[in-house]
Amino acid sequence: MSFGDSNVYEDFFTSRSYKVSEDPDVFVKEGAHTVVLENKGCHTFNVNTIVVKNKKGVSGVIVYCEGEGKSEDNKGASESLSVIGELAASAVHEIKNPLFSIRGFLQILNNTLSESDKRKEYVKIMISEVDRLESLVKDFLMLAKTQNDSKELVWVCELVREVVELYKNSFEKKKIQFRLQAKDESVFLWANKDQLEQVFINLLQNALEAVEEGGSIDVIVSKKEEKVMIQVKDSGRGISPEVRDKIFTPFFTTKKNGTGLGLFISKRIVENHEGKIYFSSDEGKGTIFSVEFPMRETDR
Amino acid sequence: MERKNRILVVDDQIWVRRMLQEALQVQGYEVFGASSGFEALQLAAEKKPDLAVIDMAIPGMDGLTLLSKLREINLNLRGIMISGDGEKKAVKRALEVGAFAYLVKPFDISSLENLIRRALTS
Repeated sequence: MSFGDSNVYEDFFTSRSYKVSEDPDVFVKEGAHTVVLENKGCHTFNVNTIVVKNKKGVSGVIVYCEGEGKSEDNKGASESLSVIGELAASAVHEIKNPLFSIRGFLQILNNTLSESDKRKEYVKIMISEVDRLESLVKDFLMLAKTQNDSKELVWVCELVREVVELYKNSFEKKKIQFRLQAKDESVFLWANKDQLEQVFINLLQNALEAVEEGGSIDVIVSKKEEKVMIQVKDSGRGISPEVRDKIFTPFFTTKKNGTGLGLFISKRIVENHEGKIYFSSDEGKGTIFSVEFPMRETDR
Repeated sequence: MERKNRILVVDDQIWVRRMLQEALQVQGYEVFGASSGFEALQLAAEKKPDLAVIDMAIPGMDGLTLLSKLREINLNLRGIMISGDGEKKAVKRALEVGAFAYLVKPFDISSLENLIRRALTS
């Protein structure tokens, strides 16, 4: 959608207006309205609205409504799950600090040793082992965060662009040709944004590591029937047939410094969103990872 | 003799603080350590640091409040925030308060050294 310059976006509920100078195709107001119907068993509905105006007047109103359907009675189970998640997250933070100081002291020690000193080699091994522990801890934190089931309306193409931004330098360094293909920009999902972001980070990271210098990575976003499909396609070395049935298994990795948790976490997140993740790979030619989410009434 | 650049390191984790102090001392800076915001303010009044490396989550007052207070006393003070948490909102807030940079733990000590060099010459 494009409505020329000086678009005004108005919040349907508060009538506040937002002028956006950058003139994006679609504007989504962050956050959601919560409407509590007290006489109906305290059901909560999250409502998102966007009113798009241009100089000639209102061009359209988009209202997204999602009923959580949670009554007070079944809150207990999900609350205790989120307590476990929070506890795990705090534990992970506590582990990070000592690892950080160990690594730092090892680096200081490393700088004092000469190249011919055998101890320098030991120190380097210790640093790389600490790095491995740090990656594990980071992935465990992500795993703990998958307990969080708060959702919002996520604009898929925008999210992909945000993640790609993180990889811009790495792509340039490796001279990788990156393309985002989205026939329909207005693909939205009712999802946990941080978790979805993590899935794209994991897939892009794998693609980046798989391709040779000068290779290509494509992200294809499409809407088909009642599904939203996001594909990450790389021109890398492909996945060898003997490991194909193991790649979603926790702690399985073919990388030197991998934790073997990236794809396991991604699968868990996708399945928590009632989606599917699968891949096809051609050794020596490349791999396509596909993530598929069912579209709800509110996403269409 | 020219005055060495002074750095204040604020982190409540004793070994993280000691490690950062040692690493920066090796680089030729004069380094002071504090474990809380209040201790940092007292030390800053006395030692007048040029730069502060502050953990976001310190006891008493949070890291950003401390940075604001330090910059009220000395607007030229450069602040580098460090944190175990790299949430975009926190990073944005830190930069709004006037932090020179935000580093997510664990980071390579050389990244901090490079940032400090840049901060002190900017």
